[in-house]
Amino acid sequence: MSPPPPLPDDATLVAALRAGDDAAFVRVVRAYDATLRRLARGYVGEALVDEVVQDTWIGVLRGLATFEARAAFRTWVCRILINRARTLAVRSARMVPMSSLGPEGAGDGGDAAGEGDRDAPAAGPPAPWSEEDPARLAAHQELLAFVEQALTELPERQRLVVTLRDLHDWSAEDVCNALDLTESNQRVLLHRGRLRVRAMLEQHLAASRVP
Amino acid sequence: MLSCRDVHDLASAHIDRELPWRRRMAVRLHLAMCKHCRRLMRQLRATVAVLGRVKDADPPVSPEREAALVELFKRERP
Repeated sequence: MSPPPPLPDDATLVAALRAGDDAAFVRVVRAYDATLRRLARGYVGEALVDEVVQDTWIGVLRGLATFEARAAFRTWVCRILINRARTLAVRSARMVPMSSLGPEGAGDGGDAAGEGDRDAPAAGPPAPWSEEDPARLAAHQELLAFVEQALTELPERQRLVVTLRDLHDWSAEDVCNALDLTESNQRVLLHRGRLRVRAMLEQHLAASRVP
Repeated sequence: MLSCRDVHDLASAHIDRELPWRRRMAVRLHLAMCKHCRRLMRQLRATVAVLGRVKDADPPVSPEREAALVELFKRERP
């Protein structure tokens, strides 16, 4: 699938949406709908994803008139999604994954001070994988599905940072703005999230050889 | 001289090319001598590469969904 064309700058985009430009809204949907659905899946089961994303689009449209561009448009949309998803997850008493339960951010590494922080010690030297070539690994749909599932098992803030940085190519600055993180916290969360996914891949690739 | 522990902690910053030159050279020197850290770095790079491909498998927004959202837009737009 070819990526959707880049959106115009925020001022142009928001002006078009405020003017009722259907085509501009379709472009926004094509650019962000998959991101919103993926983020929602980290909070609620698949059955409620549509509801969270629908609520988010309604929130975006109702908020357009008062959007003040203090943040980038996409970080504003993302914050609406996270607020809606958290609310619905609590209401349905069904936080998914279970690792998200507990005080926000507990144990995810995001409160670490930065340079002086130490990650949890590795279990030992990394075991070899049956395949370590990135291009060959990425060519396996089954492995992509495994990684998508692995993401849902990360603590909330690690999952959000890895999803936005590594899957959706957001800048560190936009992620910090969307999630109210300092640069050093964002860096620690990204690193710890990647390490956890690597560890899950290690187990997976030890158990099933990628052809 | 960096320890394996140091390299473990700096691995993402190294991959993202966020380290200052001197620190980067220190990581590379360690990697030249340590096969375990080379493997960790190789696997972490592969992990980031695979993560970067996950969204390529996303299906496009269906015409039905687009039409429903445009209806929502017409109803809710400012």
